[in-house]
Amino acid sequence: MKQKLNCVLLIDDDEPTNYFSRMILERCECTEKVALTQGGEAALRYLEAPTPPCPELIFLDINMPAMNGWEFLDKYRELDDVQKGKIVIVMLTTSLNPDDKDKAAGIPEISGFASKPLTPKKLTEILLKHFPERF
Amino acid sequence: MYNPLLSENPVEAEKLQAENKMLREEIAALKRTDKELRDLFEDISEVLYTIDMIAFKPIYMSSVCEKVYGYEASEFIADPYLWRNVIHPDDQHIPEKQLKDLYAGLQIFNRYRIIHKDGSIRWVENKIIPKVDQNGVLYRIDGVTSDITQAKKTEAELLETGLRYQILFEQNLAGIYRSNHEGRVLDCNLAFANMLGYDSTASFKEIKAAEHYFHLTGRQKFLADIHAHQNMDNYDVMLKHKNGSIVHVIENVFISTDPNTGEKYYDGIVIDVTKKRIAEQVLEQSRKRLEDAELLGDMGHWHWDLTTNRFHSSTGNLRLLGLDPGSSNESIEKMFEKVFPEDLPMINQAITTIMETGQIENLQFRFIRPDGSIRHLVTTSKLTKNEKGEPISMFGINFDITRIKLTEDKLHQSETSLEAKNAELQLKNKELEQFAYITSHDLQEPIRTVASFAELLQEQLGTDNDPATKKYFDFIFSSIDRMKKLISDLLDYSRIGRKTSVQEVDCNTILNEVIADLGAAITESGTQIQASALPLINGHPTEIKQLFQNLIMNAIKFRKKDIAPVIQISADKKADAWVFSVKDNGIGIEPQHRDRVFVIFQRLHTRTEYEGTGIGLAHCKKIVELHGGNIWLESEFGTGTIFLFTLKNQYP
Repeated sequence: MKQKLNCVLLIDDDEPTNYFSRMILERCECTEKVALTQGGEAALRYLEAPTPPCPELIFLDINMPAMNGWEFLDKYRELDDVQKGKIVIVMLTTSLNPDDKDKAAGIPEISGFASKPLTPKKLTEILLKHFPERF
Repeated sequence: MYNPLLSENPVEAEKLQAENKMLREEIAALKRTDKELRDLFEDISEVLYTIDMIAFKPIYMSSVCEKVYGYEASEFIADPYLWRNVIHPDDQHIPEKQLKDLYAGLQIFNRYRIIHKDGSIRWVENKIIPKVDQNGVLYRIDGVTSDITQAKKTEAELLETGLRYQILFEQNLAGIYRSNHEGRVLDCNLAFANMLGYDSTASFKEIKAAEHYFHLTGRQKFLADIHAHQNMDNYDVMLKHKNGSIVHVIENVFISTDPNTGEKYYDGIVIDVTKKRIAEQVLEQSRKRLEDAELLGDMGHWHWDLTTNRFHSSTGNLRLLGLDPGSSNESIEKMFEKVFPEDLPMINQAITTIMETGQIENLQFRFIRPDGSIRHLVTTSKLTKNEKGEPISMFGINFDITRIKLTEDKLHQSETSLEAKNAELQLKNKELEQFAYITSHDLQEPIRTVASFAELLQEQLGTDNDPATKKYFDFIFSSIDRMKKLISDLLDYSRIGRKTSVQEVDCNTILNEVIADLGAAITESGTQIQASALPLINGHPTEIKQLFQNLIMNAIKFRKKDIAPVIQISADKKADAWVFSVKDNGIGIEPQHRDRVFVIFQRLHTRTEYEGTGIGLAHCKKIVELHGGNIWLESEFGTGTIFLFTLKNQYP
């Protein structure tokens, strides 16, 4: 491992899921910081903070109350480039619906699609694929 | 007595005898001459007469008088007044007026009518020579009378004929003209001048014949045609009115030649047919328009002559029936041969109806075109009767409704398949509900097992020393609770309307039950419920109660932090349904979420903010739809929400 990620953002309304994902990330010691948000709107507020935190990796759930994963992506697209940063977005979901996977493949902002729960193996694959020079 | 013949002087006597002889001979000669003259007079056709003007009676009438007057000369001699009485009473003044000329010794000449003995009226001409003595006294007249009846008649006839021709020429409605080869109109009547807009024949004749034609080459064509045929009947020409418009005429024209000079004339009789031509054009336009209209409307008209049993079709009708123009006048039997056989009895029935009622409307039948294709037609027909009230013909219009028919058939097919699909869908829906019921029921078993063994594990491990272990057990038990709630909600949802029956439900009673059941929550939150009088409806009592309960619970749950909930419940009667409203003063719902809230498992808040499975409003929607109603909401974000739903008066 050459250089840790500075920040990973988790977007999921289910508290146990976020807790579990954070545990995996922390055990792998791949990031300086893990940010937790319980929905799309909270995540947008986080990204729009006066000093943009610019996470390098986002794990995004699909089914969330009020603003789901798709709606979050619509709003994310409208952000300033500074707020968007160079972010890799991976959908992390329990959805068994193949339509969701097809839909995700058609959205340029989405770099990957993984099923819950997050495991060290899945995390390693994601890091090697999207940040090869750093892991 | 002195007798020269007995003279003693023999010389004297001889001389006398000689003289006597000579005299006798002269007398004989005279007598002979007189006789010859008389005979001569009798031979000539004029009546010669002499009247003694002193005695005022005829002394001589030649026997021709019998021919002229019908009376013999002796009758004139015997009746001194006859010669005057034969004069026609109206004409007696003619000779009487001339008497003074006669007395003055002047010859007179006159014509008058006489009445023949047979009563007929004749014309005579008189020449009278008066004889006056040395004292100037008229003592005799000699006259010649000739019968001029025939001449007079011929003259009258001639006069009349000429007059008649003049009248014919001048008063004729037809135009009459004579033109020559140089193109001059030599003569014409006023009718012809008027026909082309001229006031007088003179002004008309000033214009060269060629200029009266509408087309520049009209005159040339006319000359070519007339010389080719010598005479032409009903020759069509377009002439030019003085104002420039077309005057359609037909003319009969022939060439006549002057026997002396050999010059050729064109004599013509012209009739103005402009109105007729225009009427023909209008008629033609109307016919064309009717044909176009029939083409546009996929229709045609027909006429069945009941006296001849011929069936006449318009062009449009022929097109509908797929027949060629040769069938525009066809026998009725031939037409019936082409009607779809199954429809013939109906057509016969229709004919009977028309004969009785005079009319039939929108009769549908099928017709087989010569190419074998079947067309669906609809006909409306009317009967025509003569003045005696006997039916003489039928008139009707046909529409081709084949396309409409085919569309109807397709529609019918798709309706049928739609019904089948609907039934299938209902079956699938039932199956799905059954599936949800069974699965949710069966899911309870493993979750109970997980819960039981997690509790055992917690007892064995204990959670006092390790906060992480405690956290994990918290997550496990909250997830188990959530799973149990989800399963039970799903079970309830799939059970809606499954067991209960429809009965009369008093919504006021239901509401009171709900308020009693929710007593703790209401008291705890300080909720105030204001309800107006609610109706009696037909419905599922358990579900209606669930509906009110969910809505009231929602209003309490999504209240504003520091404001006690106020819930207003009312119902308005509309045409065939009651519109209920449940109004709160809670947090409200943003416009973009108004449809989403009714979808199962859709939530607007995290569970940390508001507990729930996201099934309550989906439940309400299913209940309302079970009763044939709708549910929707009106809301101002931050001010409150009104849930509105309809329940039918008469359900089901």
